[in-house]
Amino acid sequence: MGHGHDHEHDHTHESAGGNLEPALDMSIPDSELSPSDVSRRGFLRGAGLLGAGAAASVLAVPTAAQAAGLPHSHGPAGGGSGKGGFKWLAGDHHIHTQYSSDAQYRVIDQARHGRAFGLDWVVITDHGSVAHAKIGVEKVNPDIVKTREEYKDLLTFQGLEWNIPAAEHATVFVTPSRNEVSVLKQFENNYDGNLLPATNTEAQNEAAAIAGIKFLGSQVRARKIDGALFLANHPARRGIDSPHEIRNWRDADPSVAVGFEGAPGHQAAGIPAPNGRGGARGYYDNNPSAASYAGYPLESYRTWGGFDWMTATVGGLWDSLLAEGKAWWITVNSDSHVNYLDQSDRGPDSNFDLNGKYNDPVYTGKTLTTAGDFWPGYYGRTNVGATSFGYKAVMDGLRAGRVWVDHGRLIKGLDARVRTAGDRRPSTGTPLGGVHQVRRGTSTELTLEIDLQDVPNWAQFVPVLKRVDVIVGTITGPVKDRDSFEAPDTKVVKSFEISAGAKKVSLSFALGRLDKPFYVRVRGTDGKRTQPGLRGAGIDPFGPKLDVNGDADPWGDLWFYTNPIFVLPSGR
Amino acid sequence: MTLYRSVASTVAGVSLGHREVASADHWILSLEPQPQVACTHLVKNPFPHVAISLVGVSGFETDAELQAAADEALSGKFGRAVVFPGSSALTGKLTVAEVLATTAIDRVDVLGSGPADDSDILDTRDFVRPQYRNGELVLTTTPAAGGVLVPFETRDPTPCCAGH
Repeated sequence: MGHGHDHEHDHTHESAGGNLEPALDMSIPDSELSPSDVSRRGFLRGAGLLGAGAAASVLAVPTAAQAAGLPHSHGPAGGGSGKGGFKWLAGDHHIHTQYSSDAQYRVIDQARHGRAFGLDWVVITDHGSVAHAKIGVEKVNPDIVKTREEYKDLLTFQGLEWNIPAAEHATVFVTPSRNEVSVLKQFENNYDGNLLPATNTEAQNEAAAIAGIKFLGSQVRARKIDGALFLANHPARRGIDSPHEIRNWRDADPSVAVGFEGAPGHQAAGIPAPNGRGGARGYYDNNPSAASYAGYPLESYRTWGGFDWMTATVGGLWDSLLAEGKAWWITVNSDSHVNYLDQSDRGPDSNFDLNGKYNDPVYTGKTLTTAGDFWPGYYGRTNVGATSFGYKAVMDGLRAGRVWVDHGRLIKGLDARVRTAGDRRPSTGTPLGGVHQVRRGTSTELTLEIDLQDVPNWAQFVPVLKRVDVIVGTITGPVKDRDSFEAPDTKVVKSFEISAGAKKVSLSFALGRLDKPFYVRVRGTDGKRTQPGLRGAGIDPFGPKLDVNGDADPWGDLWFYTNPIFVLPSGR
Repeated sequence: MTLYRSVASTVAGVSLGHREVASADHWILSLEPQPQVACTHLVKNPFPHVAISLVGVSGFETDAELQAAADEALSGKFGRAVVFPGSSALTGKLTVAEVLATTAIDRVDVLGSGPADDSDILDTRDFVRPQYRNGELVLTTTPAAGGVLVPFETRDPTPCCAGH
């Protein structure tokens, strides 16, 4: 293949298929392809399956890896390549309806609440199950199609919540097309953990998970659908998503498996009794089981400032993936099943197993104070930088990692870019998820334009941003131990105190002259609940605090997190 | 005080293939007479399940295919203690000092924050499952509503997808 090296490592494009078709083999230039292969390559590139959209590794560009003195993988280059401004579309990729055995609302109930609460896109994700695979996955589609027709300014995706074999749940969703149901149905029947033989070993189930992700990618390559994405849900809740499984999912197809929930849904579950459920925020109240990964500490089973331990720990599991150069993104969501303070119940005389759904909900007049969920859009937002308003543009933005998330509308808007020092042109700078490549020795800086909140959130107060933390980690290349979940070089390098009263704040932080590859990500808070991070005050002096069991007011502890921007030397 | 490794008594490993800690707990608590110490151990082979180690009682049969798991429990360093000296008195609310003085628990930690203060109140919720760690019996707790500490492990954790 003429790469001029002999070290051992996975060749992403080879492992993806075995006999590589010419359109996928980027060692063959466009000029040497047949016209049909040129057209096919164009399609794949447009689908985010080649080049900048599909992130095998940010070290995929050989010159970048060589310049950094690191081994590289040969897949497409990682992260987004877009510059300049984007249309930021808020959404929620994890929503249940009456087609889930533990939920109750119509599709349109969830969609119109999400829209009213400010969302631009939603994903309907009912649980994979025997009843759903047989009935629900088809029966929900006309409801989704009708919702699309009713609310043209809301993008309503069909997906499902996959029981990942041997692991937790994941959102799987596809772009709308005449094949959306058949692809999802085939996927669920062949790969859902609940539909696999109970006699499967752990190894067989882990292999089935990888095969499922590859199947989704194959459906895009076969042009049955324009795009399919996988996001692991509540990853640390029960300790059963081991670090090597997360790495395996991602590497199975980085154009499909792109991230996990930075914060789980169920954010109302910790509101104190008697006004609330008085449970654990996110329903994170489990303990290690025989199925758990034994290496996870007890800290991983609880939420920290509402976020999952994998994301909340500076220098923790998420950072260990980023420090490897693995593009892997975070989101937030509602996981709405039954919503706090709603006054409805499942329809009477329902027969879920027979009908694949509960009858339409009915008004009861009884207030659901012990429900643990918020309506979509009411509390958490996943903000995606899209090039236009559309289904594929949202998926492309998610895949590129142009994503920041917040709880309780902590801020109004955010534009984060890495720039070559001094270049402040509006059309330049590398956005979230992107790779900023400069010659070794070049000075770079992070610029942040934050629109502070000036309208009330859905709890009727205007949130006040108190502090912004800049987190930097060295990119050290692939790990030997695929169960690693520590990034020892990642830490908070700068904290900005934000003074009250401003409408907008512009921050910049000098990232120094580039000598080794690194990434930078940003986190902000209302500053109401902090404690030193789990890896020490020297790593994270004001990290998120452990949520109190039975007394976690979600509105009194607000954070935003961005996805990373990678900075690599361009070599020579 | 650390009794588990030093006591001169009958020590047994047993595996009945319990899938969940709750069912292993139920089996342990139904034993007559009660063991001096009983721990659960999470084992991976031949399938993920919960094996048990016991001090002070004997005579339990383990199927041949689970014998390795029973042996693993016997040599396990990270037992989760269901029965231990003083465990039956751990009900209601107690100070951390009282817990340390009256039971085999060597240390009470607050998750993510280090040791609890002697004067902190532990609401046991009548369910206390400390863990042996490097020879010490450690009870990890978390802050809870009302300014008390509660054991990390709860009797009825939220099931994976039902009823919420």
